[in-house]
Amino acid sequence: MIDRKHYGIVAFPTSQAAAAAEAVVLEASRECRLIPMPEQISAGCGLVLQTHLDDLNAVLSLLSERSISNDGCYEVRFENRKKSVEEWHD
Amino acid sequence: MKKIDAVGQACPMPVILTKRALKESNGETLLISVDNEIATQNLAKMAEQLKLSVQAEKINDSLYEVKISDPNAGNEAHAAEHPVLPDQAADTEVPSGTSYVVVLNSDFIGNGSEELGRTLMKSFLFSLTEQDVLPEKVLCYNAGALLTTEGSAVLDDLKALEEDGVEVLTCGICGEFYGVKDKLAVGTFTNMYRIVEILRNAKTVSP
Amino acid sequence: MEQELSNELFICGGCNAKIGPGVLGDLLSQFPKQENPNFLVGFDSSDDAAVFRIDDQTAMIQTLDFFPAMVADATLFGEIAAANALSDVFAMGGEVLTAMNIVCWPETKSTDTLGKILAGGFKKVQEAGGVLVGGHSIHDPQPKYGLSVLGRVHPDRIYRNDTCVPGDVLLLTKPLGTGIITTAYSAGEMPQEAFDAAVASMTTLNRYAAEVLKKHTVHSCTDITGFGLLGHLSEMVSNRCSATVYADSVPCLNGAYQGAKEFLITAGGQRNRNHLEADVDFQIEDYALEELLFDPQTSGGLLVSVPVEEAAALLAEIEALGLPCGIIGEVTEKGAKKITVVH
Repeated sequence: MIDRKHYGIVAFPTSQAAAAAEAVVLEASRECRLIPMPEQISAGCGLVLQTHLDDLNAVLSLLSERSISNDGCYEVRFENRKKSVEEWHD
Repeated sequence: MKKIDAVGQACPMPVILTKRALKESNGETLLISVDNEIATQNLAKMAEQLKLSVQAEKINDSLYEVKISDPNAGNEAHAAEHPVLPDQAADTEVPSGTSYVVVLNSDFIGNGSEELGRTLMKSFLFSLTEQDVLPEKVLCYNAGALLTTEGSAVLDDLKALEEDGVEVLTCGICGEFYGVKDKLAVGTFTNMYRIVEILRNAKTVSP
Repeated sequence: MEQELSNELFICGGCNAKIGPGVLGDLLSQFPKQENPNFLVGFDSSDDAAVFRIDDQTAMIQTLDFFPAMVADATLFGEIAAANALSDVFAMGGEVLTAMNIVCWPETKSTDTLGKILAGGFKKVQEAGGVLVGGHSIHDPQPKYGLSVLGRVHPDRIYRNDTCVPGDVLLLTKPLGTGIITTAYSAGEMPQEAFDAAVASMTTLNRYAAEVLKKHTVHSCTDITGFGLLGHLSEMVSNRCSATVYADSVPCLNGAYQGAKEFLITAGGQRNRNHLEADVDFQIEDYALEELLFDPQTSGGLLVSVPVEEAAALLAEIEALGLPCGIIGEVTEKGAKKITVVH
């Protein structure tokens, strides 16, 4: 179970790309799921890939191996019913 | 004393104008003019329900005056414990007007592609878990009963909602119909009487 | 949705515009009873429509209904007014044959808007299985629309509105609350979804419920309109029996209860309450629920009295039609009060 209070997300240019990324990551037996794009990143309605925070490095490697490019990674905190989103750095 | 002219306005305008005035009045007596007896009766009904005193007087065949006053005006302690209008109550857990119930009547959302609809359902329920105000209940019926069944793709989100105090209810008839009555994985079963009661009394959100 | 019809409140629209039941009764009672063996059902029994026998197989149903607007959208107004007028035929167990438009229209108003009202009415007449054969229009400062309807029924299979039997179960095929919702919506105090649901209910013909009824034993049937649930139920039990209403089981539109709690009630509702108060014993402490039971309905559902063994099967079939409905009470032997309301 990915921690609902503190997790990572990878954004993609399209929801379809996000879905393709999900398939790749699941195949490699890493936990992930598609969730709605947080407003803090973009106002549009799309899907992003949610992962364990500590898995972000591994996930990024997997995606680059398969030449799936991404639109950035973020760290999300959800505390006291409020969400905060920051760009993720290793 | 504040005067409200509702002559020429038919019900429920006199009531609406009076309600607005009550919100702003701070215990001031209100004098509402209307042109028919029925309006005086509707104003009297509201005043009685709000525990205010009311006096109606017929001035002539087309003019009636209704005086509404707060018998506890000036008694601040009383006012704090007994707010005049239901939505002024200070002691509700949820900010007034924001409580709601989510109704899921299928295992997918919207019309068009069912596959997209299932993805939307997952997105919807995840977003629900991150709302600043959670629903009081989530009601599942017809194919919605499949969402609370073992193996459902949205169980984690529903369980998370339950952990955070949301009541997850599934219609028993529907559970039986889909043959999943013994595989309920989150929340409890309920019956149609309770469902009707909940739907009648709540603000419902049906994605 | 554009505001095609006046921006003023439509408080006196729909069945809210009906002259109170007591007033009407008094006026009509001054006429001598008409003795004609073919006049089967008429206003002396406050029924929904009049029925006149032609021969052993056929009786004609005649009814009419028209009123000022209760919604701002012209097409919807046409549909609702038509559905409301056609309903009486279904409530008597008949089929619709023909309909004629009744129109009152201001000289200064655009006839395009009138065209949309008529289109709405036409659609419903067709859906009801009837033919629109004409109409009559006059100029009038306030727009009004409705239909005069001719229907047919077998003389031995007429559903009367006052023939319920003690022990029967009472079923309602559509939810209550249209008066409160349309009125509050026009004052900007009702959410869009509540209004849309009320419109969906009002534009639904009672034809489908009536077809379901044909497969069951029905003791009495009427449609719920301007006198509210309690008003029409009171006509059903008349002075022969009494009824108990399970208030918590009465289907209501979302938002209507809340509207009643916020005192967004109509003059028509109060008129109904004035007329019926003495006949109703409220054993519930819920003022908003009381208002819902008096709320005048426009194009409401059918109130049906059936033997207890038919109830569950009938309810299931009516539920399948898709609108909120329910078993709302039972008919009892005549008691001190005509109607007792419990939780």
